[in-house]
Amino acid sequence: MEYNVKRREIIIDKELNNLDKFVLDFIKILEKYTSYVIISGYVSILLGRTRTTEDVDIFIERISEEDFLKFYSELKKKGFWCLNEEDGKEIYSYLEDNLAARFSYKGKTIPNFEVKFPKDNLDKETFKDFITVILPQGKLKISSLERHIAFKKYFLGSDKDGEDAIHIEELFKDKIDYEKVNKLKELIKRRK
Amino acid sequence: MKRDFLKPGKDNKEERLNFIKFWVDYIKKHSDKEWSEQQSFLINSQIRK
Repeated sequence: MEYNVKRREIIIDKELNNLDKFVLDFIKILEKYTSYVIISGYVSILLGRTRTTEDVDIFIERISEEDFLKFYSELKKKGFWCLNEEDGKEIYSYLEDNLAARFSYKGKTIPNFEVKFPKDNLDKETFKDFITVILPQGKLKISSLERHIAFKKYFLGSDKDGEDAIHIEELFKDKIDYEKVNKLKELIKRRK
Repeated sequence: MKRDFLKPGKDNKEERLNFIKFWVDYIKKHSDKEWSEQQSFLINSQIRK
């Protein structure tokens, strides 16, 4: 695994597991319609953490209802379904209300994507400093490691979240900007 | 090559922390193929294609 801080790229020549394959399947469709950044637990898992998850959290850039409906239509054609609702307009209204919409392979519940629009500036900034992870079978955009660590430690805060942060901190020890982590910590505190 | 050993923790929290550090060290010292094959075994046992 190689992290090029300047290029904001991590290259991993990993054997893809079933969770990685699910994520790539979904992203291949999503990225035709809007930008995205994967956040939270799956970021640590993608980078080697020894656990799995039932959901993959993701921010998507706001899109029009028309584009969302096209995206949803392709999702359905390619074997996905929404766990919350069948009607595309209704699903879009959830997103507009800053609620999450979950998508899984048709007939399944897990794993699923928990899709959200960014709701404030702190969320929106996730799109400004994302990292691209280059895998043998595709690319994924993940939140910056500093943002990941700050949210895990100072916003979410469970034992599991703390361990997810420690995994990243240990893995990229010398490459993490702790000044940035601390700035984010303050912004997170203010939001709380 | 000298083998690395996992330090047992005094309690569950320390045990888990020591394991995370041990595993990260393993990732750093082995190829992506080697560690990810083990991760796949764990994840694929819970998530079927």
